[in-house]
Amino acid sequence: MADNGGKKITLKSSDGEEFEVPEVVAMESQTIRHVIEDVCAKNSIPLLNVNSKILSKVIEYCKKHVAAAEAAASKASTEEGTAAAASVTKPSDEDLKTWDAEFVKVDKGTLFNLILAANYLHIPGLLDLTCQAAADMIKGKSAKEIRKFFNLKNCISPEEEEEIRRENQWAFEEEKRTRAFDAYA
Amino acid sequence: MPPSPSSDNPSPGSGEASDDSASYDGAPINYLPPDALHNILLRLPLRDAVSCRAVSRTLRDSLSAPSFLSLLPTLRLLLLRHPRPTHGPSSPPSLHAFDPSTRRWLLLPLPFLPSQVTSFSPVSSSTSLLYLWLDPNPPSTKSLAVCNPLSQSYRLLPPLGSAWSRHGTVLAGPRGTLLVISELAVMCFSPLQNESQWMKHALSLPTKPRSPVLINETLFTLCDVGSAWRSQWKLFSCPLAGLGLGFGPRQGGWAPVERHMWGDVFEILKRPRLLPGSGGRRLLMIGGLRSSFAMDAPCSTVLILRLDLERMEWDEAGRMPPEMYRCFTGIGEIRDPLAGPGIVTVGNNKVKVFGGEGRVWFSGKRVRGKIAMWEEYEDGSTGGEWSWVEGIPGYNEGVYRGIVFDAGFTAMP
Repeated sequence: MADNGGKKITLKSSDGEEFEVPEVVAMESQTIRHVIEDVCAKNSIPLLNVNSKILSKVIEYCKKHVAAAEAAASKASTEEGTAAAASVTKPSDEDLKTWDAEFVKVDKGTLFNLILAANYLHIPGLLDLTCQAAADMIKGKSAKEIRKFFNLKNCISPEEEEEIRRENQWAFEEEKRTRAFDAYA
Repeated sequence: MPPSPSSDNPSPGSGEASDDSASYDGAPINYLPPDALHNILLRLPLRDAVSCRAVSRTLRDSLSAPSFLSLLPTLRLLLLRHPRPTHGPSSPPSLHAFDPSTRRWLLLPLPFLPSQVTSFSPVSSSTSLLYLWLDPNPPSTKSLAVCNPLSQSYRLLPPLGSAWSRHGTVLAGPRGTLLVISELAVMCFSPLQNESQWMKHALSLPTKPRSPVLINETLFTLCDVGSAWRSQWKLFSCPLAGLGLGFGPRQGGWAPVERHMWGDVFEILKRPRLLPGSGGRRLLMIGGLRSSFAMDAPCSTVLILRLDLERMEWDEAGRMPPEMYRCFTGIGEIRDPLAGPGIVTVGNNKVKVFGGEGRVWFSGKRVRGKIAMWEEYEDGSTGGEWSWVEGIPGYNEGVYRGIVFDAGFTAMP
């Protein structure tokens, strides 16, 4: 990332750790951007809902994406309109996707915390990435497995659950071949 | 990025939070704000999302709100339609549906149909809505109904009259419009204009329409403008506005669709059928590929032609592999000594063609228990994937057809 001596800002996690980051990286968070733009002369911004472990991951994400955007912009301006520009930006899109995929390979507790942080800090790209990762983890799981995944106590009675399954049969099970086809025999 | 050592998944019975308990304790999902939860749920395929109703009360409630449900992605299915459907008192009315993305069969129960209906037939669909012919008992006039099988709701359409039910092709259009096209006229139902009755328009076509389809507010159909002994197919189109259905000022009517460079594209197919192509920008024409221009020449296989409606150019989308086609025609069933070596003249080997939107299915009398499926290549190149779909229910007479249905909650009857 270009070190243009830009302004730095300090972010303070809920457990008291301080992170100094370039302002442009911190502004990936729209919440922080509003604080910086609307409430002037803030040198240190306390983030009461994000602990240091999660904040360091969030900063890592923001740094990577700011750097990727800067690299793409500078390549495009130096090779404007040439085919080379198109071919250079494409591999870095792929690299970023790969990096993103590795970034969300975390345990579900960290993932949920990242979702909460991305939501609280209004970082749309990170929210999309983490919510998609959570959805991918749920896909194909049974209700019991999803309950276990989200660590939920089962507060639906067996009768209620049976009724839900019956009313939404098409969503839960495949057609029971043997019985259904007898009707046409 | 290796997970940090302190982050273990909690044991199921403990109810303890995972490592970052500084942020929250208890079940993580209870701390997810509703819009983050919705963000996750909206990324699931429809069946996965709806099955989350059984997970917890919170999820059940979230997944029952109509406003949220209407945002869920739809599920593309093939619904089977038997030519002579009935359902006995022991088996509740339901539809067999095939999900091509998972290659699985689903059963869509329709318990909400009135009890005096003895048989029903799905004939057309628009997103989330299914149109059915209902046969009442005691027998009286068939009626059309629109339903959402997932939300279990339905509504009867105004009566049409029995002359229309047997032979009319039903086409669903945008904004709840419905067309029933028969030999000489088209009946239109446009709820935005008139909720209580159908409007009739004469068809100004040279002959009776064959295989009408609706693509993006334009009707397409084939007409046989040839003679008694030789078919000559011609393509016609008409904008919906031309039927005075409230799609803009009344303008346009039926006009032939032809280009000089198309050459003999209509002559190489026997008994062509039209189907909507993918993306609302293509028209498919499917028929037996004539092995020669002789009137009674047998067909060598089934050919799928595709018309790009923007560039107005035809290309070959795919053709049925010979070994598959043989299953429909029956190898060596009847040999015609006059036809020369290797030529098999077959009896009634009509192949039923149905589907559209990137997939076409084929059924036939000789092919029991399965149908052939063609899936368009994503890049639109010639070829496509051919496969057999097993698990078609048995039948006594008649052969299954089907319709494509995008099931979901995006519209209600």
